[in-house]
Amino acid sequence: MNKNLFDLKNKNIIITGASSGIGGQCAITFAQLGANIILVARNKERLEQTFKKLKKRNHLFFVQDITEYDKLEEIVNTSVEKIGKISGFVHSAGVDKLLPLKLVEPDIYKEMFSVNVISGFELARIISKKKYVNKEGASFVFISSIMGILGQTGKIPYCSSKGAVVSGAKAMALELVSKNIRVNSILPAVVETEMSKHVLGNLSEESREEILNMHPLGLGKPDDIAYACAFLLSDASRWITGSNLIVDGGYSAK
Amino acid sequence: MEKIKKEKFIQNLKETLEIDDDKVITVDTNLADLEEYDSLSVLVIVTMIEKEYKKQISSSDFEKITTVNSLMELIGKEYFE
Repeated sequence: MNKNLFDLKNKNIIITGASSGIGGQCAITFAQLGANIILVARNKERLEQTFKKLKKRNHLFFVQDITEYDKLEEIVNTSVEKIGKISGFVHSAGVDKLLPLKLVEPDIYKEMFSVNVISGFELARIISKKKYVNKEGASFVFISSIMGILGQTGKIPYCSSKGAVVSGAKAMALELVSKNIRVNSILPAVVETEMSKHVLGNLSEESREEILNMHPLGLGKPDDIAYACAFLLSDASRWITGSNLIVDGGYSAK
Repeated sequence: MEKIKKEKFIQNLKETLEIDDDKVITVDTNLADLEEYDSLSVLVIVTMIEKEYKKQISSSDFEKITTVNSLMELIGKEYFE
């Protein structure tokens, strides 16, 4: 029987922000598709809850604040020692804040960029080392946002950080071609997660209604993004690199 | 400045370019012949030399580099044991 190009069988995949939301769902979906998952997140309790939901395979988890950059190589090194070289990486950890420009101070940008951008790029740098990455090839996926290419009031730090993810992933894609590593980003619109509920909760009923109406297919579910992500990690997408895949329920089509 | 051991320098170069341990690199190895050597390797090596040996080399000087030995000459043979 021919190999199913869409499955993730025997791929070792590192996911940041893996305890909940899009990252958590990615872990569950990828494990169902045959992958071994290395989950990384700050919250131990939620991480363990997600870990228990995974289809039994050779999974690992690490409780780690990924902005402690000097701790990241140890995670990758331990993972490779325990389960083998890395075939996939998904940077799903992210923070969001609704703040008008007049209230945005430099520390807000620093926090946003350190989680949304730098930690992901730093992990990509480490994983792409020859001693860690699967020589058959690998795929890196950065969860950006439709706000990475569109604007939204009160979201300057968030939009700019997600834009940095899109453009950085394109540059990385070119540089890592020689190592047979593909790099892409996914741009979701509003997905129903704890983080988006918190942000939406700060809006008026009228504004929430307006946001819902901006999504022709309704708000997204975490597995809508996990499926797109699984495709980009699978061998079925072997000719796709440097792209930004919009998965937004039609938000940007208007 | 403490003298640089030739073997240690070659080991640093191998790690910088992610060259497999079992691949033999000598002072006569031509850098351009290495499969790991690409257009960005110059920057990577220049940065490694700056960081490890506190020696600044301009990328234009790098055009003269062919072998590991010529790289050592550019840094300054007097710095090596």
